[in-house]
Amino acid sequence: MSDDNIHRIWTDDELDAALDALNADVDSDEKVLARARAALMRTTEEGETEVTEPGETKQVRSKRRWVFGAAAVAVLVAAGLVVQTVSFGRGRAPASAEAAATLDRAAAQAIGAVDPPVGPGQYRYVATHAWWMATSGDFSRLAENLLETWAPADEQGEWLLRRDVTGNQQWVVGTEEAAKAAGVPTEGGWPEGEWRAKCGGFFADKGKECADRGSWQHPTAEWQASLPTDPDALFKRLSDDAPDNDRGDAELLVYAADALRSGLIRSDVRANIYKALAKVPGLQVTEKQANLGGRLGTALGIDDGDMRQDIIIDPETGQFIGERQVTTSDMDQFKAGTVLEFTAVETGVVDAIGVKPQR
Amino acid sequence: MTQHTPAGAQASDADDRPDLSGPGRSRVFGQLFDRHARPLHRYLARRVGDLADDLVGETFLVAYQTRDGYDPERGTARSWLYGIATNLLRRHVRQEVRGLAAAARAAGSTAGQEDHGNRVADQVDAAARTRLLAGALAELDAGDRDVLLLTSWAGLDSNEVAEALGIPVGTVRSRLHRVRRRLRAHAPETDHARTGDE
Repeated sequence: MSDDNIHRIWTDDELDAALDALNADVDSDEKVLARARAALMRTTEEGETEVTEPGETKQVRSKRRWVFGAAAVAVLVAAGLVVQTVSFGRGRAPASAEAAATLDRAAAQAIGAVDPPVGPGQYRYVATHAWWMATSGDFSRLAENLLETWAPADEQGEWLLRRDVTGNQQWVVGTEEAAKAAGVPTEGGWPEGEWRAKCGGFFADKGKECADRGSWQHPTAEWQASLPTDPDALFKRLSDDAPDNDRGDAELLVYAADALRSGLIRSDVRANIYKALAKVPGLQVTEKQANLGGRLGTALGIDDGDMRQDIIIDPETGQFIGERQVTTSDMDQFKAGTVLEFTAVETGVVDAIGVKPQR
Repeated sequence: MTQHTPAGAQASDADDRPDLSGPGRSRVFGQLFDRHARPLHRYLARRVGDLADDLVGETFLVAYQTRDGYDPERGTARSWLYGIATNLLRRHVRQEVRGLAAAARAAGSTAGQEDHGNRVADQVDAAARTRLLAGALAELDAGDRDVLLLTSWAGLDSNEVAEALGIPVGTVRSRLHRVRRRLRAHAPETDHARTGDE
């Protein structure tokens, strides 16, 4: 018997046979499948009747799409798909004087600011606390996703992205107990894990990680250098790049926030973006002392008629703190004034990939 | 064995890219369910047992909620659904590992088979390997286990696994290669003499 206990390499066939045999004796209960199908049909049919009502429903649909879009972004990243920005409203009035003044002040501070330099072998660390809405049937919760990025000093080097659903969440509509009783998901919903890629091209095709020259969503150094420095020209560039959708000028803020949220925008470029945003029609100071995950700043936003897109900046330092979306009228299950999602960003410099900065 | 897959995997791949955000969603999602739910349930059941009964429905509800995120040009609905299911499974890793550890301890179940000379020995060998495999799977990194089982149990090809997990296809291939090599070398031959009932 002792001789039997020797190590031997299995053949591929043996491994496949073992894989085929393991846990092979499962079968699908028709009742289980029928129940799951019925639940799915209930949900889809509810959605369908709401959006096919005549009258004001077009806007309702936009909002619905958008709310789901927030959750969708995460899942589609998991599936390796392209993040598409979902859209929206119209209405042009100049940026308020207060908003313009706030941005000018922030811009002046940003110009003067010196971002902590990332030396050779070091990494810029960007932690994004993204609170996204998950809606299941009659229930909605804001759940915190922590997205951490390590960007090497040399952009062509290896980057790391770590995603974690922290478990922190706030029930916005309904309660966890009721959701559990109703059998809807009460946790998770977004991918977790680690991705590594050169140039931050985590979801690019193999060998094409560095092919993306840059965009508002992927602000490479080369792309940042290509931006006009004149505020009017930069405003035009932003207007040209942002999709022309029914969210109107709020979409400009979405695009600017995409870039600012990356944590990778140089301080002089950040200043230019602030100056360009002062040209955005309809931009207002929406809250002087907005609290975003414990960090205070001034919120500037545009209301598209149904919801408001805010960015939050610290005018005293020129730092970009984050962004949020807030309903401005009752929509779906959300009352006016509900925060639909918010994102707070922190950056630092660290000596090794995967290591968090010291607090 | 009932297979509902239409003949011709290539053709079926091409039409497994529905427009999920357009009109007629109930119909589209009904078709999606009919096409994928049964094999998905089986896959989930092989991984986490009875939890699959809930997870299969949850997968489709999450798919419905996040349908705007599905881009047919970037992957099949099947890849996308298994990607969602993989995320949901991640909450039950401990349960899965417990199940695998139990399978590793269980006696080989060739019971009920008639004796046919050395076929029995073969079956005992195979059963022993299956047990060893279960133990080895329990020790794998969760990401490696996903790549292996999406391939072996769900029948996804490397491109589909890459789409499902959001990782490059080259990474899928190298991981798969590494995991298989490790599993083949991992387990010692069993001591047949002790194979018996528990």
